[in-house]
Amino acid sequence: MALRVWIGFSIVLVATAAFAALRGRPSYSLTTFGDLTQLLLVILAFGTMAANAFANRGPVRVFWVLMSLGFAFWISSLSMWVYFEVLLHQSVPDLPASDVLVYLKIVPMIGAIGVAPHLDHTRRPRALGYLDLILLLVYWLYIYVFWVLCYRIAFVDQAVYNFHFDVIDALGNQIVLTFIGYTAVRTSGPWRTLYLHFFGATALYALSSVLSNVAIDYNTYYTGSLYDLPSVAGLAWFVALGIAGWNFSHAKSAPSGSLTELGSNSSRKIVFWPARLAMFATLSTPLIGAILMFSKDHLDALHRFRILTTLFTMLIMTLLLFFKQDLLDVGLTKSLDEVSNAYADLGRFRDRLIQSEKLASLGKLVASVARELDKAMSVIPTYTARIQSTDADDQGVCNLTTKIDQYAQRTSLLVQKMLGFARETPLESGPVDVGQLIDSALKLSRVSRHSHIKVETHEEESALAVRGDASQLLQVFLHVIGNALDAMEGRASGTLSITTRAKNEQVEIEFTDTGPGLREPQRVFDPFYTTKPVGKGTGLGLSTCYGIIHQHGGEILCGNRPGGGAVFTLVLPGVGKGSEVILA
Amino acid sequence: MQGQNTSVWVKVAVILAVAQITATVLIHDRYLLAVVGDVFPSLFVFMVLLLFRLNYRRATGSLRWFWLLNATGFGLLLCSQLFWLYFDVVVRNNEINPLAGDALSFLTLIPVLAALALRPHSESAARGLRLRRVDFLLLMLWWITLYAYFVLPWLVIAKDSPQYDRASYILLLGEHLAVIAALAILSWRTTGEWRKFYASYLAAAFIFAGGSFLQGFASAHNLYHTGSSYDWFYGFALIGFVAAGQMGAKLTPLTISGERTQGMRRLWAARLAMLALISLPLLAIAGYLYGQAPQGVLIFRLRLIFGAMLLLGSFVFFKLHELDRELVRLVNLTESSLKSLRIVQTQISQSQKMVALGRLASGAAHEISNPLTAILGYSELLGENPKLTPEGRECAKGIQEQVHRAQAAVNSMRDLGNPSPPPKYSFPPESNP
Repeated sequence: MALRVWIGFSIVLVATAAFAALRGRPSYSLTTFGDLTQLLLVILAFGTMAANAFANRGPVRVFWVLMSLGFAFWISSLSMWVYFEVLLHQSVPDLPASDVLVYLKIVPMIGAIGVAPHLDHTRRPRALGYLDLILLLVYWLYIYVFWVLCYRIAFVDQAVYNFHFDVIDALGNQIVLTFIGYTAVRTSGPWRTLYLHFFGATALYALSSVLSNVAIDYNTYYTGSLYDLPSVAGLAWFVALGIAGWNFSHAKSAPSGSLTELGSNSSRKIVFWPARLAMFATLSTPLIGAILMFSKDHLDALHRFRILTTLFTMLIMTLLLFFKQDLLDVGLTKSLDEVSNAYADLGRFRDRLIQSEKLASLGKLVASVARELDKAMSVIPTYTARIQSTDADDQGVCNLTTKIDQYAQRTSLLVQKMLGFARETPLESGPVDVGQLIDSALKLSRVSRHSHIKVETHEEESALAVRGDASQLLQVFLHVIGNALDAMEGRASGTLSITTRAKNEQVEIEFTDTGPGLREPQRVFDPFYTTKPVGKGTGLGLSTCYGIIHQHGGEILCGNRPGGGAVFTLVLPGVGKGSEVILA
Repeated sequence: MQGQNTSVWVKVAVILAVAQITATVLIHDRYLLAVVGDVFPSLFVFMVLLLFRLNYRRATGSLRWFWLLNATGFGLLLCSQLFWLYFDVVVRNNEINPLAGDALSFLTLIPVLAALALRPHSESAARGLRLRRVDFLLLMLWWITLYAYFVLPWLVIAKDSPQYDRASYILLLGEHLAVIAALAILSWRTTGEWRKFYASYLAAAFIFAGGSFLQGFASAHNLYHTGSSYDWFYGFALIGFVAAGQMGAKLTPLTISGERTQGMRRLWAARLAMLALISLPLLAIAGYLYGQAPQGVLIFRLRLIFGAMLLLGSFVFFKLHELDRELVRLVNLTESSLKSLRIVQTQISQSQKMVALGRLASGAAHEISNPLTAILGYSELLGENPKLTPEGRECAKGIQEQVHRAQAAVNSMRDLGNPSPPPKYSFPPESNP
């Protein structure tokens, strides 16, 4: 929307400028109009791009920061023109500073393209990218001083200065165009549109720059003349680029996501080119120096100036390389540490995985054993039925067969439970009775075998239920109870008390033992935290419990009781009474 | 065997040194003296070279490089000695171009410096040697550039003998001081056998340096002639080098803890190389703005600097490019290893259920064996009942069979549970007295 409005406005603006140029002779008002139009356009472009920089993050932000930096250069150059032409009412003196600023703007632009915001970025330290950019900036400045400015300082020749400046400025624009064109060809989707806008605006501007430079050399140029038209149009297009970028980054389709996939294959190849460019630039300085030295045997003023320039540039660039190397080295050392840590972790995980796989294969075996048991328990009743049919009159026999039947039933009930657990069921959320869950857990954890341990259960409110997966919660309860029993193992006596209470919408279950307590309560839930020797415990149990409880939207806490012994507290989301309760 | 060897090498060195001193004292003929003064140093250097080569063959890893570089240095020195021997003894010409001999003796210490920069005592220093070679190459080329910058033009362009002598004298001094400083730092930083080795190497290098300065000083004041007592230092230094070489033969790199500091040290070698690179344009600027050298020398030097910058710069280019690639590779590796970590984590959580089942089962095994025992007991009672019909007896047996089968299954489960019992808990071991 905003883009359309702007395009309409730009057309009007260009038409107005054309009208003014055709009507007017070189006059103060025309100059003022021409200068201010351009300045305002550049400021507007800068503003939209800076806004884009604020609105985005990551490489896209860097892209817009660099773009706006380029326009900042441009603004400062144009404001010098405005200062002289509009405020001081005089023609602009030859100002190398203004030339340099216009000329240097292409470096941040090239840097912006180098950021390649359309790509999925490898995490190359950003400082490295900036350093490459600074290297390029220094180099580009060097080219200016070496080839252009020397005709103002060492060997004054205004004509050569102008000519060389025009050539180099055009060259710079060509370079930017080449880079944008190349990048636009290699991308697709919204970024391509953006790059094409960029390309068009730059092309138009480059054209105007060549035109006006030639016009200046033929002395037919004045501010506000027809030669400025492509420039105005180009600048308006840059503003459109900023607006397009704004729309693009605020589109709901989240373009960065779809775009990163696209670039991920080629990113490794592309990411390097600004670095490579910077290195080639650095290397070319001694080459230029060598050519300079071997081309002539005597040293005239121009020669001396150029040699000195080259030497100083070499010094600055090698200094920058020093920092770059340091950054790389530091980054490498850090990454090496990270990688070796990650690998150590991975190794640890793998070791543990092997251990738990051993247990897992045991689990599979258990399932087959359970089936075997089930079969046996289903055969026994057929025998008892046959005995009862043949020896029905004997009371003793009858009693015995009944008892056998009962025990067989009890066994198969246990086996059913086991099989039920072995079935791969996803998290089945439903109301679960806490009291029954605790009962099952106590039974299955063989508490009765530990004659020295007393179990106390308190229910502050009867028939409390929580929402969750019964088998998974049972696993947690089993683990916490097993933990407590283990802690009290070997002691003369011990008490495990389990208290259940409702708290707001939640149910709190507290397991308290009289063991020695936890050594490091804060680490208990860390994966692989175990104090047992290797092969004994995986250290996964409590972290799994933690995972399960959190999956249920609950909390598991632990600590030490003031009187000694550990306290584990489970907090689970409760279920209102009256709903159907799944038994554990 | 080793001990015997040691004494033989040192004995030969001492005998040679004594022989040289005796010869210089006894012989008065200038030519014979020159022969003695050229032959003995050549022998000394040859001996050191042999010893270092022997060490090189015995060594492994970065120590091998250390000895190879040292041997290279002394090989160059031997060439320089043979050069003087040839002119003094065979050609008998004093008016020769000293360039080859001087340059060779200047080059001697460059590989030695590189060898010391390897820090052979540290095992971890050898890691990532591939890229570090570039640093060594840079540093070596830097010394050569310095030589070409300060010394060479006075011989090649300006033909200014006093300037040449002074420049080569000062540069050689700098080189010797660098070796001594490097050795001092190394012996200060290390302990034990390595410290002894570095210290004895340091002593030998010190005598060597002192001797060569005395020589230079004497020849500057026209006191020196080949074979004079100024050559004795060669012999003394030789004994030191032989002793150091002997000690070095037994050394092995140490594993030094604290990888981080190691990494930072590696950084210093790279920094030094980079500083060397930076120094070149600085040198050229200083020489250009403040130097009083003739135009020819100035042009020569500027050409040299640009050429050297091009060469060294391309090495740096290669190195930084490799570093950059390595960094991106590592970063990607970190990402991929994080990814596999996540995969392993999901695998673990998948096997969690099975693990829990295993634990549950071993608990259940006990629970199940109780009713099974009861069934067995009742069925036995049933079988013993005399009133039972034969068919009933059969059935009771059948029940017993089923129970035995079930028990066997449960036992296998319990047995399997035993080697890796249910995960234990995070309680301190002393909790189970």
